[in-house]
Amino acid sequence: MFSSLARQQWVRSSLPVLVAAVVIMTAPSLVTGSFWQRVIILALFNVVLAMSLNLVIGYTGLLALGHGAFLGIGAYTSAVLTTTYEWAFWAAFFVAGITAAACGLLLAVITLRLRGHYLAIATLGFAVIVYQVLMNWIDVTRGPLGIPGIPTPPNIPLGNGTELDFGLPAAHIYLAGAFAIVCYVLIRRIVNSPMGDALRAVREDEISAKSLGIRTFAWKCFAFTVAAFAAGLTGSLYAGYMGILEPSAFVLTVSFTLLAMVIVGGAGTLVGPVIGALVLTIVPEALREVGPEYRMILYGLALTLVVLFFPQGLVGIGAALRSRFRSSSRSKPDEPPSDSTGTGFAKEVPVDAS
Amino acid sequence: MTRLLTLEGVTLAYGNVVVCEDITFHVDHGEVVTLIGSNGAGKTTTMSAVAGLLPTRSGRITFDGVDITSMPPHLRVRLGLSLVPEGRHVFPFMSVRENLLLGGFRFKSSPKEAASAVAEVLDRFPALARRANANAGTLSGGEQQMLAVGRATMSRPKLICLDEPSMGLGPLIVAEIFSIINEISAQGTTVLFVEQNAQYALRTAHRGYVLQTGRVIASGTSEELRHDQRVKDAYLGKVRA
Repeated sequence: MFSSLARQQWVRSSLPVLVAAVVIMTAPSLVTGSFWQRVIILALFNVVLAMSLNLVIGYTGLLALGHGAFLGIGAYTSAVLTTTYEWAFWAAFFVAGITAAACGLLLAVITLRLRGHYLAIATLGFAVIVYQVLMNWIDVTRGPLGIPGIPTPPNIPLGNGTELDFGLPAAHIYLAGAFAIVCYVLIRRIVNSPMGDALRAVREDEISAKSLGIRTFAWKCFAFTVAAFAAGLTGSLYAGYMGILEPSAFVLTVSFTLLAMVIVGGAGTLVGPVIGALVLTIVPEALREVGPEYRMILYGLALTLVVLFFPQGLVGIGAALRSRFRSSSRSKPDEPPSDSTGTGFAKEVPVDAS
Repeated sequence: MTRLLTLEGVTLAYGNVVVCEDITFHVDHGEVVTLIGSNGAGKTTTMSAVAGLLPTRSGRITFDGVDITSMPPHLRVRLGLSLVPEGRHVFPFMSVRENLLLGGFRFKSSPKEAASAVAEVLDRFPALARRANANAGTLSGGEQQMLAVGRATMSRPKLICLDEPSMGLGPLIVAEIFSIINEISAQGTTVLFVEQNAQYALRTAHRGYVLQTGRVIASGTSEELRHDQRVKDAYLGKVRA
């Protein structure tokens, strides 16, 4: 009984990872056009960004709007270290993550006494500052000229004599894919541990959390720092893939698009942001076929409709249908609610007087 | 009897507005003590300061022989001080079981011990046991209050502080909540609670303090307070036979 339950749990936790790994391994041979390979890589970066932002917005319930800034900090840190200072890529990669995490912690300590809209504005301000620094700290960032000639990650020998050649997009797909899977697994570990319980407690009711001995401020800082760290690492991979950085890649719109990925996919769920990031990266590109003038209108319309009709995000569609099916069949009324769905961001608190 | 909690000359303020001045009271081991007073008397403010949610402007708070005046809330919980905040603060989108488990967040225990602590609480509150897997937000007001109280007992505190446990609840539920308070006390936990409903409060508590506009204006055993003219006039209305 227990072993079959354990096996079931193992399948449930490993299956998505295995499926993702297979999809990523086969992607470069299935999608050969350089345009779509590029879309896949950017989508994978967005998956990590949305997952990490979800830790802050979805699980901890903090409306933070400056996530794109951490991407920018990581990307520029990595780019400056590998070009001006000729660091090895992987050393720059980790320093990029740590720099972004340090900025995240600093921002958290300064702004996390605020909440709701005020926190949103403060973090937005942070994103504006970072953009201006990238634009105007010419000595380091070269301002609007951008940083060209950023080296790719070094080729990785594959044992059988061949190498993973980062001159080719396929290698970047594998790297971004592996990175996304590692991030997914680590975030899942956090979320399903007592740490995740503490974060959710902060989101659901801060006063209760405090009165139960949960250090709400420390946990909020933790979520912010971890999310910024992941975004900084992503920024380094982004710099290594693009080869050239300009401040315009880190405008405010980036942060808003990431927010949309989290909300549209399903905030406070594990797979929601993954789906949101994939859909919101791929759909706008697919809509190019429709024509540039209608593309963004359709995209905006789709966002509005999803938020209107599926406030729990795209993952909520499945859960809503399933619960409807379940209530009509009435087989297991006391099944514990699965945590991965149904703790959405935009839910109403039921008011029930006795 | 030994002192469990003492407040000496405690002054509390929000910004520049002083809400409580020179509050002095104590709770002994094993007692049930109530703070009564009308709206705005400073009861909730006092409780927040005891739990550490509000910094103390001046004065001294000691708990179990330790000066906790400037101790953060999570360390107070570790010392054995647990607060049930005003207005039924439960985690609405977590199940009853998850809510209880979070109550033992600081209670360093194996999953087995935690599970048995949850089972104990569910045993005491059959209404919660029936809905153990339901989201706490879907419970009735009374059930949510029971959950909040049950959750506070999860850390096995020495002192439970309840902030207006009867707020917004119907008379039958209020009676049930107070019988729960008696039960908790009978099991050896010291109780401090805040109440507007002085009738109930003075029937349940051993002793009480009366707060008015941020000051303690009267204190004594429940019996004494019930017969205190000021208390009668202000809080009890006409005494029914």
